[in-house]
Amino acid sequence: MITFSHVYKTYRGANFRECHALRDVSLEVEKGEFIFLTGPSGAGKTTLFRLLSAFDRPSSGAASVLGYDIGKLTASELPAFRRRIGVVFQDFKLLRDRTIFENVALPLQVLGESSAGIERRVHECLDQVGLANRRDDLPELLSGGEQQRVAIARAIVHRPGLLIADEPTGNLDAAMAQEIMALFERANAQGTTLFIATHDHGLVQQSGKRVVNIRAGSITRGAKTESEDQWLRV
Amino acid sequence: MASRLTELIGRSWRHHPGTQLATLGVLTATFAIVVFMLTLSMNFRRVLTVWGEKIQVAVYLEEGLPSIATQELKSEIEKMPEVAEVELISKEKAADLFREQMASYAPDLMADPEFATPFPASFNIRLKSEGSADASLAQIERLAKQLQSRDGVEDVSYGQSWIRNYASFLNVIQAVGLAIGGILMLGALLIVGNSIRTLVAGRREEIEILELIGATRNFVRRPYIAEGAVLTAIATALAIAANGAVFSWQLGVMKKSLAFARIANEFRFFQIWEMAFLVLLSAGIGAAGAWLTIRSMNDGWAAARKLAAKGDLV
Repeated sequence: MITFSHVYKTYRGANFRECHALRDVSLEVEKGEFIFLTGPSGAGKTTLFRLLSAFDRPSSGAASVLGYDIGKLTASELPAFRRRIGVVFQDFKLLRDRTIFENVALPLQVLGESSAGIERRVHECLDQVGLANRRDDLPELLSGGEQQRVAIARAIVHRPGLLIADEPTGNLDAAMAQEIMALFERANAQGTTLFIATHDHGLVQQSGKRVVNIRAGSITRGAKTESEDQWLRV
Repeated sequence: MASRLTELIGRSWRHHPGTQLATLGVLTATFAIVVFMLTLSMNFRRVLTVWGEKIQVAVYLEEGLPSIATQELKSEIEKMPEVAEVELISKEKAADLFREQMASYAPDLMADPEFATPFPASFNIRLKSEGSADASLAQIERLAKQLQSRDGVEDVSYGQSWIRNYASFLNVIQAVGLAIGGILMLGALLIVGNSIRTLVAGRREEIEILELIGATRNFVRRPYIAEGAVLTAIATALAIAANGAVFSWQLGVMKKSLAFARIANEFRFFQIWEMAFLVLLSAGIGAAGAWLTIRSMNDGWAAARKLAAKGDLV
């Protein structure tokens, strides 16, 4: 499902010094897994997510997701790959001039679904994230937590094979965070592989799922038990 | 699909009314000049063609040419392949025609019993139509040269100088029109491109998000291309309407002030199918301008490029 082999992502800073956002990252994830990615701010979680979602390309190394080589994705392969994943961005990336319904409907429109199908599925997802009554509002009228739930609804609306979420519960209260996690659990039970970055240690410990820890651009063992760490190859 | 395009175009008008109006204004002005040049060129050519069809070659006969020789010459001319009709205008008939035409301008002179016609007998020759004005002119000149050498012919007249000058003038107008039209069309392409570039800059985030959720390049581009086509089509329709209004007004003025010349009857504006063709053509130019602009801005990595611009990606 996901194979990273000696992946580097390098930026050049203002003083022309090279900075490795990811350093020699090797990782394997099987289909249907539910993984938490943890690590301090600036550790490289977002960069790793950008590569997983083909938001960006690795500077070196091999990154394969859903059978696609991220470093070699052609312009015509790119949309096909992105349609198979769902991404909850840290900054939500909602279109400000579209209603909640229109934002969530976008992936289905891109897939060419019928209007009736879009209406039904979007309503279902908005209902799941508790925002069915806000469908005609613009994002700016919603709180940060509500916008995050819209982003989640948009990420799951087309039933992706891989769901990647960057701090999806960061702006939510404990009760809503539990609801969102339940939503993710449901998606995972239906066969979707989940890769979720979070700072919420309580949530991670409670879930008992596999944890990947990243620090200074490299994957480390983190808080996982030895037996669960069999998945992790550093 | 149509409703999505309508919705997106409507959205860009709601969110960028100033840009859209300014673009529409500039495009309308540009296409108004193009339509004006086309109208001018079409009507000059039309007048020349219509006048060319009406041009008659006048063959003035020598004073005192015997009647038999006149008839023989008439039969000879009638047999010429380019000749449609030959009419003999006797000296007396020429005088009558002159009186008839000039009666309102010089009534005293015409009423003078002493007035004698200065015109000799002549043949008025109407030619078979050759189609274009240039072909008609060549045909007339060929025939005139032939007739000039005949016995009994004093002179041949067909308005050589004005028709030649008019043809040259028409050629210049057409060349200038073509050059200006070409430059303006290129300008229109750039204007549409710039307008789309502004729209794209305003909706860069939307393009990034659409790309990130798997929209194909065509899915992202289509609304912009449609917008370019719609903008130029509307601009051309407005330009045609404005030119049509000015044309009607000028035609009215000409009909009053140049009534005697009856020139106004020869002018016409574009027919419906010609207008439709112009609108479609300009829509094509608009779509091309938009496509040229957007194709370099949406290759699937817009978000990554933005990131690279911020952080100098290695």
